[in-house]
Amino acid sequence: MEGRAVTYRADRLILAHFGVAFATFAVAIILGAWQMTVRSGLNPVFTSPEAYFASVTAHGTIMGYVMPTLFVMGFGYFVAVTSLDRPLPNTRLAWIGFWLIMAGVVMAMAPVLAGKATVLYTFYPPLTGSVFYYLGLVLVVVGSWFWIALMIWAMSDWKKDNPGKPVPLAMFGNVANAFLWLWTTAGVAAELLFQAIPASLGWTQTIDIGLARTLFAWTLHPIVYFWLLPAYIAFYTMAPRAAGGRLYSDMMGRLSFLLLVLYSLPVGMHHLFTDPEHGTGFKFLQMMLTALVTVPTLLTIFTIGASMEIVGRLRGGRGLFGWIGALPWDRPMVLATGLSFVLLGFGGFGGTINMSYGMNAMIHNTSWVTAHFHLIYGGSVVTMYFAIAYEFWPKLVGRQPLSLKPIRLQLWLWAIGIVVTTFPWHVLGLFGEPRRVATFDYANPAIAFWQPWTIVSMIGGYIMLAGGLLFVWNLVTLYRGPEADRQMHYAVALHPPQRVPSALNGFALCNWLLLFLMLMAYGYPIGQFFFIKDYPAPIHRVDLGG
Amino acid sequence: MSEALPPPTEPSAADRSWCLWASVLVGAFTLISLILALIVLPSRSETRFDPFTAICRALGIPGYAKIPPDPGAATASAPVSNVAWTVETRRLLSNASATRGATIAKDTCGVCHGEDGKSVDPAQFPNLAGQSEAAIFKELRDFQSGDRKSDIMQPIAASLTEEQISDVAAYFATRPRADLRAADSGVLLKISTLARIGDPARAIPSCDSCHGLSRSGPEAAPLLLGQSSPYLEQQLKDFGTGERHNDFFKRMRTIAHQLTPDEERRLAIYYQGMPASN
Repeated sequence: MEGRAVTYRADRLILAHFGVAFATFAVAIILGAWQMTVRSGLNPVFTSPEAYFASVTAHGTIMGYVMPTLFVMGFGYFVAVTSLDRPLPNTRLAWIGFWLIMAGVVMAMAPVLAGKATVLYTFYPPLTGSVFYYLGLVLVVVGSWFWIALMIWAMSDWKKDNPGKPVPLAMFGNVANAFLWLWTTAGVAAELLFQAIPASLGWTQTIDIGLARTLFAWTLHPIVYFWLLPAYIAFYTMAPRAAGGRLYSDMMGRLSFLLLVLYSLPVGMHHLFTDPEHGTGFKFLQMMLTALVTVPTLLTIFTIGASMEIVGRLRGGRGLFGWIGALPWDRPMVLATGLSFVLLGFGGFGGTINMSYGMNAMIHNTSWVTAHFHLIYGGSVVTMYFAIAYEFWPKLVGRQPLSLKPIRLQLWLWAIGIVVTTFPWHVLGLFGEPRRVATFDYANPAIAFWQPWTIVSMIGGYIMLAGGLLFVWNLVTLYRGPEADRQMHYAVALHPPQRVPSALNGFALCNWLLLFLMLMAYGYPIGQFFFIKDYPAPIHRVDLGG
Repeated sequence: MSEALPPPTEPSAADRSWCLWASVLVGAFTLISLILALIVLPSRSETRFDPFTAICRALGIPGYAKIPPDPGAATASAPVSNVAWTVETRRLLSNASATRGATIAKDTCGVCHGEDGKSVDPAQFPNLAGQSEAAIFKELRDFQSGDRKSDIMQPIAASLTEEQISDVAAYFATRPRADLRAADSGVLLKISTLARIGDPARAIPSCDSCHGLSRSGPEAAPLLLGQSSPYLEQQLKDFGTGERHNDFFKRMRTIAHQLTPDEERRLAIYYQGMPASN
């Protein structure tokens, strides 16, 4: 298969998205390391509860909304242009979406830095901050809707011109993510527009927290899969080729993407197991649906494992596990895939405990949860974002890296940092250390033994910080590298598909099934707020004190 | 991959069977989960199988939860204050009129607290100018119900309606307060630390977290800055002995009984404040 150059005037657009994504990322990791220091009880400069929670809000807003959204958008534009080999349907709309997000980021971050929106990125009504924070986030979401439209548009145009042909797997995954994001944002958009913004404008005196939390849970789980899908697309369409082999099965990829869309959405109530506003019935249903998320994950581990095993054996690996050692681990994409898989394994294991109705009570609202999502997000997702950036950036600017050594060092630093940060954090969670707490009184003998664990965790945070900053440095030095080939090649399947069932080449069936599942999973839980008497909470302003 | 593809055809049998089996699998899984969630599991501990009750319980529809009554509920102690921060209370406060309140203040409160909220004898009668509306409202309601004892205030508060109380609270909240800051240069560092940060070793939270300018604590916690030190010291002593007991969850009684007399006196001085320009 021939490679595709990243042209069609999309390269500047993609670089703009990636550039802002990683610039804000650099800020957020510095805040993260400082937060770990505050919690360790070492009292760094500027320690105060207000500063801590403002920092947590900024860190979460960047890492939750700004960085991944921009990264996924840039990634999507890159994949659309290179896998379909045609320009975007409308580049101007893409730029409008980008600038809306820029305006939103400035609008949202200003009140956070001024201490007027210290509500954490999950909002926590009845806490209510400056209206500009919420409006800024609405702009970020609306900007990303332009991307959704362009991705769907690009795929349907291509299908019109190539009737009967299978959509390239990378693009298929990409459009899966666009639909996933469209469904995902509906929950948080409803919460912001109908609850948070009217409250922050003073139009209402109270807020229905139960409804707000349910709407947020609608978004809170699939948003993670929105972050995760580029990593999965890279597993299927980049890692096998980087290792020098082929993808074991194209169909497994399609199936996994569809199942990820299907079973990431009707499951968010596993975040509300200990909440009183729902009965046990629908919590249990959503727990059952959550468990199905393991299916696409295991399919992926099997398929990528098989792809890699073929490469390893061709390279002379023998025995049950000998092929693993024979893989070309010096290549960043291969190394990142390996690290990401290992971290996904640990993170996934922790996740099955979170989603189990019974065991959840043991770790609810403890550091375990924070550890889990940092392990998944930082470990599995961001590690692959690095690898994708190392793959795409040279093609965007036409330069090769000077050396692969700092790139490997960077990936290792990050992975080690994640382990050193999150493993003690899990332990602390089992000991009952609460999350969302700025400082602890380690003089209290009952919790004094937490401090050494927290300090280890903090050291992990600084290792991650070093890894994150080295990543930015690696990108900067790229501009001094020798000229590079700008062709993008995706992995070819062992048996390239000639024709696939329409269920695996489009999203009509997937969307209908999803509509059914969402009605089953959320129809009653959301509907009940409109006919069962509930007790709205008085709004608590965080932006009016002082 | 250069070989020609066959021309596109109508939806094939393969497409139809994918749609069918995907729908059947998803539907069956959902149905089995729902039966487990709504019928089987909720009726597990029942002696008699009753699907209707099981579904109602699983949905959380009120009246079907079999929660045994709290044995302590009947013998629970009387509330320390009858004020509840319900939506109705907040609506009452947000509809309050400072103009109507001004008349009541002039006729009733002004003699001791000053018409503009600057007390004629701050050691006995607290300043009300710029005090939070919620705090004035709660204290007046507590005087009214007897949850806070005062021979002077009880009959006065009893003569006011709830609306009048909220009006007068709204009025005093709008009166300008003296331009002061905490007297941190007048007290020991440990006292200002107690006020600003608290003392975790004694489980004493910072006073400012509820009573400071950017407070985030209970709604009705009064602002302390600018009250006279004898008045504040007396309140701390009364909370410490339990003489005053209209604090929810014994918050102030728990804190105050741990304070030494010296700390009470110095905290009172700290909150009496000094001119902000000083």
